[in-house]
Amino acid sequence: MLSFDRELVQLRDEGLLRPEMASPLISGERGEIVSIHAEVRVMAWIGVMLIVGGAGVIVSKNFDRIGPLAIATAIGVASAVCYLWFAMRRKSGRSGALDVYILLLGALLLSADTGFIEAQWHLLGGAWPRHFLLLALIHGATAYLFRSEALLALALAAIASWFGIERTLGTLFTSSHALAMRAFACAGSLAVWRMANRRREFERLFDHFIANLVFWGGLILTFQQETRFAGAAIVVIFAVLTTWYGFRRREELFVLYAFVYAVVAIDVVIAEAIGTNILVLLFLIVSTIGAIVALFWLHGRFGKAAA
Amino acid sequence: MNVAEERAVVLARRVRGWELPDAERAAIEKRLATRWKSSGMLASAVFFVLTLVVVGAFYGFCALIHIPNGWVTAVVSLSVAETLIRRLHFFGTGVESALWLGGLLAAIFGLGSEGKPEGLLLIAAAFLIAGARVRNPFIAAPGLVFVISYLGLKHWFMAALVAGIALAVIALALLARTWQRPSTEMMLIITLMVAPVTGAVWSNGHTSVAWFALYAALAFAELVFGVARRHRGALVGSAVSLVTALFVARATFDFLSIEWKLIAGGAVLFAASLAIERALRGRTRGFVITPVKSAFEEAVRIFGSAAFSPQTGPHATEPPIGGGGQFGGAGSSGSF
Repeated sequence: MLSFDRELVQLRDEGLLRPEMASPLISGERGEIVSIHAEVRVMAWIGVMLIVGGAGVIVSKNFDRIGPLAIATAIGVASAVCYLWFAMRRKSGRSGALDVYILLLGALLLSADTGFIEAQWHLLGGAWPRHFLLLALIHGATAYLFRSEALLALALAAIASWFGIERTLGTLFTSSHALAMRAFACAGSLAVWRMANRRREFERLFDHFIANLVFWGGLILTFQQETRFAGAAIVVIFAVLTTWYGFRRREELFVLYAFVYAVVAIDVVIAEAIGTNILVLLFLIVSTIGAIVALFWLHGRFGKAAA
Repeated sequence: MNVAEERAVVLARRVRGWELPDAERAAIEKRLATRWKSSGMLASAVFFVLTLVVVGAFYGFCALIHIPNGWVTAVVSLSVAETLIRRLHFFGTGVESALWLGGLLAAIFGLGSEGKPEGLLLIAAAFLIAGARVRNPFIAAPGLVFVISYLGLKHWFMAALVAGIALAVIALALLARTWQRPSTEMMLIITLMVAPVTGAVWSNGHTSVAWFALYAALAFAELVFGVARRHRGALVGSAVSLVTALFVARATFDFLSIEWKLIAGGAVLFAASLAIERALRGRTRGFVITPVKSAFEEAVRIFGSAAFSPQTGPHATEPPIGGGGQFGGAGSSGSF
């Protein structure tokens, strides 16, 4: 079994690692203290996803036999029980590390139930996408109430769905610029929400959603003949801003995907302008090598800035 | 790269995840600095993909100008990779791995395909050689998958099963000793997880209760090892083997439909995680449940859950028509 015990002891003895910091780390390497917190939480999450997946299959397979009202009621009750359980545990002050997954189960069941009810009875008629807005409001409110990033992620995803944004790669090639505009509008709405947000722990999630929506919208425009240059310009300008933000927040992930989105946009524009296969491949080789070198430089600078 | 250098590089990566004051972290990183250039998991994945794009484009370019694209790409890629490793000391950047793997694969694809399963062995060799050279278990492990897949493609289903389980048993036995190189340890852990699953997938429909028992025994052995040696990799391997055992036995347990199996499996997993959490609560030695920051767990919980949430279909602006419609969400989609 691998152990960095020796190196950690050395760092402590050399005075580089404070004894109070070194002690738990050394114990961990020796196997005296092994936290399986992350593993247990991932296990609980998989459990929740399996339950929700199974419920979804039951709905689709037994629809005729059980009937829509019974299905909608059963899922609704199950969802309510999860919310109630979480609220009661929280109120009693006995909440455990895994209770958040009960809450997540309730939220996902609620999402499935709302979608099912709308698909079945068309309560909102032609305005049926508004059920996503309803979900966004409920998940958003409960996210703030229970301080849950997972519920906030569900709320943001529901808003994106309300704006009609599909989460598939094929969108890039098949969409019109109306979808790009919807992506920008969605990003703008989330930016307003982020400004009003007072919970610091939620900021990163907003930032990731906003950045990806803007880049996605920009790339959709880049892949359209008539908006190619405008789309690429949006992606490149936003990539510069995102990179700056990534450095400021010490979040390399922003730097990485800003760079990748920008490279894709630039490559699409130039490859389209060149036209000939041989020259396109030659350009791809040269530009990607250039991108790797530039990203290496940025990566190095990021390391120094973080230090 | 010698053992001490590899350990220093891996430890320096771990230091980035520790909650330390900036000055202390910088001092430790300076102490652990080697001549090798390395990058984190995410950055190396990006470099790996970008480099594969270059290798692929070069392969296509050589074909268009009518020169032997396989060999030329292989020679150029491997030469550049070796230069980067020996002169510029690249290790775990993603670039040298992609060059080695891309170069070897280009040589194989350049030979042309006869559609024989033996081609899979060549691809397996490419992954294993590239993985061994750059000491990257994530490149080498698919090599094992291809070897077992070859047995499956030849319709030697029992051999695929035996190979998967045998490789896992060997990996478990080897994990009992103390390894100095982190890459060796990681390779054994990945083998423990990947080999039995590949064997089970390829022998799908050709198994019996006896195979279920064998997988369950493997899961039990990994659990015992994991608990006794407090080895996380073996514990995760045990969970993977248990799921594989249930997959193998699904025909035996045919009295449950897929949806109830999903729900029962989910409920068991959730109940087990609750039981473990309760059993370990308050413990300060051995296995504990002390919260530790895990970017992986955070990403799974937040973005994984969002991915399972309802989303709009391809014609979002159109209202549902008549008595039908679609809904998707919570991992399910249904048409009515």
